[in-house]
Amino acid sequence: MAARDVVILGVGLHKFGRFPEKRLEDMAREAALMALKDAGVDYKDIEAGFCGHVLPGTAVGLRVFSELGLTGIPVTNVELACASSSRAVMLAADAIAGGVYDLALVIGAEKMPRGLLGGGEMQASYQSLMGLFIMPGAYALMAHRHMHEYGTKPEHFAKVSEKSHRNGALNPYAQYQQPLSLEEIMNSRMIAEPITLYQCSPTTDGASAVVVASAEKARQYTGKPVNLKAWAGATPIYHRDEPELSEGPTDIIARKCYEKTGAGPEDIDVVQVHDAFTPGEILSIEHLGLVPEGEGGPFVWEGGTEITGKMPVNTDGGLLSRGHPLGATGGAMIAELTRQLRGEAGPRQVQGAKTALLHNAGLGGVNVMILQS
Amino acid sequence: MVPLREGIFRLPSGPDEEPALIGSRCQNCGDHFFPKRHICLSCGQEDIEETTLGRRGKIWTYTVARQTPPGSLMQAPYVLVVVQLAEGAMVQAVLSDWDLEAVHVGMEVEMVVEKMGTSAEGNDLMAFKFKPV
Repeated sequence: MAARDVVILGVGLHKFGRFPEKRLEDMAREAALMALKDAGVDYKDIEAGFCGHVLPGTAVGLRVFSELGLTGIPVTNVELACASSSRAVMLAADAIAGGVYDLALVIGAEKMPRGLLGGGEMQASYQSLMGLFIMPGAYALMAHRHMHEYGTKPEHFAKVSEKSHRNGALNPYAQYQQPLSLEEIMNSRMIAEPITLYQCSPTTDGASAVVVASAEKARQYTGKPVNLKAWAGATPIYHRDEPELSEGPTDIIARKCYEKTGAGPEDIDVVQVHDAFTPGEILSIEHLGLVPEGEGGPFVWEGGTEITGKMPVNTDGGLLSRGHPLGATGGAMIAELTRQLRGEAGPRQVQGAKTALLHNAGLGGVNVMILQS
Repeated sequence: MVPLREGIFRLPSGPDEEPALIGSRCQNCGDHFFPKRHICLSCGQEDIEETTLGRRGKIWTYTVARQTPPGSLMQAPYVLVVVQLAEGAMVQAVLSDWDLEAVHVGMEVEMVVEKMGTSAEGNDLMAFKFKPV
């Protein structure tokens, strides 16, 4: 049996920010109802559920899906740190492409404590005791190597945040909706050089939801589908002369997705990348083949990733301004790209967007997806 | 003196012994790893041999941590480094005795041990670091 075509039929979000009065289940339910309504699908038609989350522990999927109903469907919890809900969508897509289901609902949700994330049970390790687990650590280490190899400058990284906050101001679901100047960003508290406080994504409460369907089944519903053309995931590959600093070989899985769709980097109109810390954007656009290796810094500095730029990246503010509820971020990336491809992104709209690229990474793996209208 | 975790590095047992990192060497393909591990990442050989690693290496990349992470005995500011040892293994650690103007990719460094805290029993808790040579 040939793999069936898969679509994103509906998307939904709960605003990202701080909601101490709301339970995880409340935010998840609101995002899910929005996605179901967007798809024109009744919850009783959903055949499988996938729940992306990181911190809350066991049985979160059941708690979250029970808010919508108890219909007996298989619900699976997916944890891939910051890339949980994009991996959850990929698993739903695998099952749909393989003919197991026609309709699945993916919910990503997170409630987070403030401050630097600890290492969980890794906290008693020698690395933690010796101060090696600084949150921006891998990104700061990669940034310095990039500066050494290509002459990238600290202000190039800071510019990512300046663009992000300007875009966030156009997104009513973003945690931060205020522009920040380059000076404010560079003068904010240094966390790990060259990454200052305003170059780090915040901790956030929030939820996202995505209805995934077979293309054929989607025709029975009113939702405006967007084609999920390719998806691939990876973990790091051992290289003797390179330390394992990134979440995985983005370049390899991007190439897999380009080959699957017959599209190339030049065909991409709009992008979401994992900007947990500003170097993430500059390095990712290179690894995704969108700019030549080493040229990410100047490309960003000269406005290349603006909404009106040559390669718009994170039009809704990205992790930096939209916020980063770990389990919900992947779904939020898919929501923004879906709206872009439908022409529904309002003031953030990239004109004529037809092909979108998603890159979502976490401690544990990296995902790349290509969507097309 | 006690190491802050066993099996990671060896404290010198006398004045004539050097401290050393404990890693692995694949007897099949020769690759070295830190920390120690059972299976070679390069060729898949099982039960690779535990070995002490050399002290010398070069900085592959670094950053300056300005905020102390949760659970850390090391107080910011400090220089976090990735060192490639002469045998090839990559090691993450902090620098001892750093001059920020001098730190650079390619800088030659040497592994040392230093006190990083005190155990519940009152012993010196030792950690490994790298020092510019």
